[in-house]
Amino acid sequence: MSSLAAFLVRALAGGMLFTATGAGVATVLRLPRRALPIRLGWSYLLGVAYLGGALYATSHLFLFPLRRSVVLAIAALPVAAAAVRRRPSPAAPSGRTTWRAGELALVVAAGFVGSLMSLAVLAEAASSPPTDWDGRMTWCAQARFIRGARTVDAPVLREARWYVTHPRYPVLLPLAQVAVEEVLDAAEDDRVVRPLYALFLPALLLVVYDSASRLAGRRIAALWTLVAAMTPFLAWKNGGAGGCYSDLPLGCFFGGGLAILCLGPRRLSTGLSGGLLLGAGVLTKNEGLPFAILALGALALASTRHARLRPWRDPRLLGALCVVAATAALLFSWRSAIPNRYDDFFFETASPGALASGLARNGKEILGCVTALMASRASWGFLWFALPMLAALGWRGLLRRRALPLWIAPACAALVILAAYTLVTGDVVAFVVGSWNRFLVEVSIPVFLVGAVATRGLLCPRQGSSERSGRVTSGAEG
Amino acid sequence: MGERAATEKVTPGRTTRALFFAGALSVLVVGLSSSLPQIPRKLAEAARRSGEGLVEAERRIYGEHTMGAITEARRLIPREGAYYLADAGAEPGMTTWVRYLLAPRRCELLGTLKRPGTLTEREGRPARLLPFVVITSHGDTPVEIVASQRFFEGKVPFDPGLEDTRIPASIDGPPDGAVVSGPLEVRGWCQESGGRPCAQVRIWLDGVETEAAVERFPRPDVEHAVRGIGNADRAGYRATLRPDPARTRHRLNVYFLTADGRYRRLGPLRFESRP
Repeated sequence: MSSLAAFLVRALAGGMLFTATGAGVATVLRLPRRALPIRLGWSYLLGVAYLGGALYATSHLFLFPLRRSVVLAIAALPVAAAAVRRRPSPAAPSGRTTWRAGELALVVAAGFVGSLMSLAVLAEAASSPPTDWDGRMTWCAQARFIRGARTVDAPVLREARWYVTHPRYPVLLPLAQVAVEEVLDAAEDDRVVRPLYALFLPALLLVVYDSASRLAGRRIAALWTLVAAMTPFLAWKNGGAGGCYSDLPLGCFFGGGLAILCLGPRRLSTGLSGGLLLGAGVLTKNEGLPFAILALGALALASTRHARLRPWRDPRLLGALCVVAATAALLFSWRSAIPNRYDDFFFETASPGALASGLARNGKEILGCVTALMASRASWGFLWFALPMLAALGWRGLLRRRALPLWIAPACAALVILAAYTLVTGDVVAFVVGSWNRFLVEVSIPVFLVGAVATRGLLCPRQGSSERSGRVTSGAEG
Repeated sequence: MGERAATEKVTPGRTTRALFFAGALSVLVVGLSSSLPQIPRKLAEAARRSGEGLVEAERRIYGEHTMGAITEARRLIPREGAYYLADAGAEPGMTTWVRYLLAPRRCELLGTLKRPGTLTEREGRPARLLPFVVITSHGDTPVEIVASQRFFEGKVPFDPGLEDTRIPASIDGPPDGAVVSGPLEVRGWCQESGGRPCAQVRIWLDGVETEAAVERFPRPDVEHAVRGIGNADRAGYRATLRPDPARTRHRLNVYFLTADGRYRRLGPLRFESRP
């Protein structure tokens, strides 16, 4: 057991690098201070986003070598800036300080179960090298190539001669792996870097709890955090925290960015922090850029519809758009020098005709396959049975301004993915089986938040003056 | 009255709330009963494995033979070096795991059995050889390291460029497994989308490039059948070969080379010749 403890300490040391960096970023961006566990969750995401993105930019644009000194210097910048900054971040609105009957017990239960699940996932990650497909094929392999060359523009990626699968996949997570290995001075022992992926699970749970409590109150937030903690696919499967797949990290960046932008105050700093997470998603997977565009579009729509605010006058949107645009430019610049090869191309060219014929050809199979995957209790428990019912019964909650983007963005993403499935040539069932569950992981945070909002809509369908007067009830802010 | 209505809080009935909480409780109980038992199992497994060194962990995952070969390859090939990788029928993923285990060493893929139409036996040898070939296969020696000089022994220099299996091409004849007598006509077509014919068609018979002239001719049937292929005035090819009469079994590979340094290989086709 002492060896396991040593592994866990080493695993957490890597996580602390990003958490400390992210705490500095949160302070610099004046994100509202919250309870310590919740701050840790957000800090981890912001830290990975900032450090990975900064290493990407400095290595590609300024040719900084990927060495420990550079990693530590870049990580220390926001920490130093936060220390120098005189004014502390504003405290979050405290809301109701008393606990309702059963509320404390539910929150403690959610914390307990979430902690246990996270500990088990982390222990497994810290004690065994990667055995999953994508991790060994792409992410961990790319990390070794990049670390070997000390640059994100590794010759093995840029020269068409070399056998590299998916060479143009964005490499933010491999860069984060390199950062951990450099700081811990680790040899090629990927047991050091597997926890990097596993730590996204507790981060997701904390983000879900924090965001849901602001939307729907502590009791409902605790309930949905429990649901998230007990969703088998998120914890144990490849695509979740069980392997080195990038789907869970993308889900945290996309969902976390969307939550910040929906729930944060209408300030530029909100936009920058939300944009930082969405931008990290752009640099994590190919889907990150379309997700970011959908998120910003959904926010613009909600902003216009409810507040009659022109999107270009919303500082949140402007800030987020600038950061996302910058990361997209970085990605395209990095990618432009990499010849594509050993990459799968499953789709025929998209056109209305191709979509129509694809729908006729593949539609029934796709629908059957998607339904079967979502109905699997071994993967998703009762989530996809309960959520549509709750959404139908608590629909009022879904029409609130802050809730609109949370279901519009993932719903549009789902339509895009399903449309893409109709264009698949070849074995569409195998393609759907290999990708649909992972897509659900990528939109899991908004899904849980929609569940929370719908639950509140069901249990508290209409609140009159309490909402209009700005009085906070149930710990929810409006 | 309006103000009272505006401030009146509307809550769902007791039945709705009771039903909701009953449903939530049952979902949670079911979820907890399936998730919680996994936790001690995972922790126990992690505790058992935490005493492993990295070498033991890799042996457990990949097997003794594979890791023995990998260790040898790591010794022979420097970290900043490169090697060839060839898949001779290994289990799915093995070639990928070998590449991962040997990273950051770079590898050039010689070929794989897994994708139709790609090479298992490379014709010719590259102009500048890397020192070693790592071969993955099925059976008792899943990974083997061979010196490149030995692997390419007897082969003439031939470097067709970068393999691209998306180049549209076909061998229309002879069919695989054919029995022929006398001269053999090899025919088919190759053209990239947009009317770009393949710059060269090079035919290898029994490991030797044929000297027979390769005639190019129009293939309007291909132009009609393949969407986006463009003008197919030079898409077709044919050549007449004379198989060595001393042999009865033959192996045919056809290489289609583009102007920008890519190629696709179709084959090997195997056929028999009779006098």
